[in-house]
Amino acid sequence: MRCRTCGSKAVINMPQHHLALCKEHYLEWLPAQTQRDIVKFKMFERSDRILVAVSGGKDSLALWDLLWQLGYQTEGLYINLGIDSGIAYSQRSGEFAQAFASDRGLKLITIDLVSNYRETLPQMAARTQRGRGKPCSVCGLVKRHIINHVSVQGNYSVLATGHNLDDEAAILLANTLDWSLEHLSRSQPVLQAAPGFARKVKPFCRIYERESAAYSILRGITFMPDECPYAFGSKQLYFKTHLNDWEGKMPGVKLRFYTNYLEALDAGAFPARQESIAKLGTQRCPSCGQPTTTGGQCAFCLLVNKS
Amino acid sequence: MRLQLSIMPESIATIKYHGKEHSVRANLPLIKAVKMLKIPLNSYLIIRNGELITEDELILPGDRIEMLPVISGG
Repeated sequence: MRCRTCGSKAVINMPQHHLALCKEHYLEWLPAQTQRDIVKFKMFERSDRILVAVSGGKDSLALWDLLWQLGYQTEGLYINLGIDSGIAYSQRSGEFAQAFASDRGLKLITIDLVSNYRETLPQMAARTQRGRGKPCSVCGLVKRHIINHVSVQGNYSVLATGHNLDDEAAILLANTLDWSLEHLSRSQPVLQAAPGFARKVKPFCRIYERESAAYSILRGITFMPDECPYAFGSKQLYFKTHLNDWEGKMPGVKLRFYTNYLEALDAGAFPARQESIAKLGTQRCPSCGQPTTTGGQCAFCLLVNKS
Repeated sequence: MRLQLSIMPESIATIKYHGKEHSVRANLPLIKAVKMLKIPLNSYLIIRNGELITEDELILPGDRIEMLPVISGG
C-alpha cells in the first residue's frame, strides 16, 4: 500500500477516507484535520489559555502533543483517582502524564483525590447506590467537578478533552437508543462558556480512535498501555465494539452517524440545550459555588460531604 | 539455573492478538492471517518491530507482529 501523497510505503490505511499515508504525511494530515475542526467549530484561538484534561492514555496525550505542536497555549490537568486494582493504575497513569509534560517542558497540574477528599474513587463509589461495584458514573461526576473547578479557578478560557469520534458515536448511539433528548442536545464539539463554566471543546470529535492512537505511536508518545480496570464490560465498550463491526462492513458509518447528527443539531432538532444551560446559570451550590440544577448542594458536594 | 531456549523455525512468524501469541506461516499476506484469526482490523493497529504497518504487507519469516487494540473506554 502506497502513500497517496508521496508514493512511499504507507503505515496506515483509512478506508473511511479512502486514504493511505506514510509516517511523514500522516503526521501532517492529522494535525491539519484537527486544526480544520478547531476553526470549523470555532473552538479556540491562539490567544486562548487552554487546559487539557489528560488521563495518561493515548488520546488525551495525543491531543496535548498535537495542540502543543500547533503552537497553542496549553497546560495539562491530571486527576489521581486512587485506582489501584493490583496494577497501580492511577499512579502509573500519572507518571506517564508527568513524563510527557516534563519531556516537553509543559506544565501539568495534578489533583490527588485522597489528599483533597480523603478517599479514593472506588471508596467514594462504594458508598453510593449508583457507584457500587461499577464506579464509572461516580468517576464521571468527580472528574467533571474537579476539571470545572480547576478551569474556572485557573482562569482558563478553554477546557479541551481527548474525546474522539468513537467516544462521541458510542455516546450518541446510547442516547439515541434511550431517546434522551437532553443528553442528545449536549453531545456537541463545543459547549460555550456559561457563568461558572469554561468553554468545553473536543478537537478530536471527528478523529477516529484508531487515528489518534496511530498519531501517538508515530510521534513516539509513551502512554498508559492498560485499560482502566473498571472499563471491562462497560456499555461504552459494548457500543464501540458494535459500531466498529458496522464500520468494518460500511466504512465511514461512524463519521456519517456523528456528522449527520451535528447537522440535525444545527437544524434545531434538539432544543433542550439552551433551556438546560439557562437553568444551570441561575442556581449555585451553597457548598462549592459551582452551578447546579438542584436547589441545594450539587451532586459532587452531596457525595463528598457524606463521607 | 536451567535456561529454556525456543527456536522459531524460519518459515513461522507470530501474531500477538488478545494476549495470545498465534503462530502463522511466513510469506503469507498479513490480511489473510488477520482474516483467519478473525481480527476486526478497524479496532487494531498493526505493529511489526515497533513500526506501524498496513495489512497488505507480507509476513516475513521470524516476524513478531502485534495487534495493538485501540478501543478503550469506561
